[in-house]
Amino acid sequence: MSGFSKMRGMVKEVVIVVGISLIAATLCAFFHPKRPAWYQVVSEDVKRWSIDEAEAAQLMGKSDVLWVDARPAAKFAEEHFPGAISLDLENWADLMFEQQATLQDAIGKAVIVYCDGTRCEKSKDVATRLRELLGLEPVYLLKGNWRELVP
Amino acid sequence: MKTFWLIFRLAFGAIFIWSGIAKLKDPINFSDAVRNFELVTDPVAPALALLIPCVEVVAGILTMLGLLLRGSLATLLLSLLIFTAAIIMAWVRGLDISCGCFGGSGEMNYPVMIARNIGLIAAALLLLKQSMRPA
Repeated sequence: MSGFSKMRGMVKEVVIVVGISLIAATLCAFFHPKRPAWYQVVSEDVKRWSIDEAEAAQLMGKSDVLWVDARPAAKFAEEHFPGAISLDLENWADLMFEQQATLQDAIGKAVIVYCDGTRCEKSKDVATRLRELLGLEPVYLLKGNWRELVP
Repeated sequence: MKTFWLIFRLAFGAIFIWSGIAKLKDPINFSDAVRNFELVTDPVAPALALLIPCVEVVAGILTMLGLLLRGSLATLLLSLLIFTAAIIMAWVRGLDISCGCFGGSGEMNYPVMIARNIGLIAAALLLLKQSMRPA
């Protein structure tokens, strides 16, 4: 068999493999009990409390801000926003205990939760917990790069 | 030598079946992982979250069975190249994400992920070359 016809045969096979997978994926899209939604619904809370870098900068100028780092503790140890506290979901209970005093002081202050990446899911969960469990308000979510805001 | 290639092929197929099933157990979680790469938007991200594991399972089974072998290996090779490119792009952009590889949700260790993918790419190439040989 020549190289060309071998290649053609392979491409044909790839098309069949992908075709079978597409059928399987379509079945999953309709019948899988944990099928994902086609469009992610952004909750009203997230929409309401998300701020970008410019808004965060404005907030820093206006009031006292407590910065909360929602990334894993190891990342926090490497670098973090000056003065930020670490509240990572995985070590939530321990960190809450450690930061008890700071969090109590934060009542009445603005809180900004950040992590890396613009779609950081962790910061949403941390912010929700701060709002619902500790009653802190306002708790903002930073959509953007916190490093840009380091004075 | 034949036995060696057979075991190699079976192991290679099994890795992808395992990886695909792990993702298929929780496509919602995997679709979040896909979204986090910030390369595709909805509804492509959830569609890929269903298609990628299906490709892995189907091509993995076919590889183990030795059916449509070249096509299955080429498909897996192509997906590995795409995954690796996506991981490198996320690394370059400094995204702090979980890769969703093998259905996990742990932190991404970029160099380890890339090294592992290069190993899998090399394995796919070797198997593909072997499958091209006249029997």
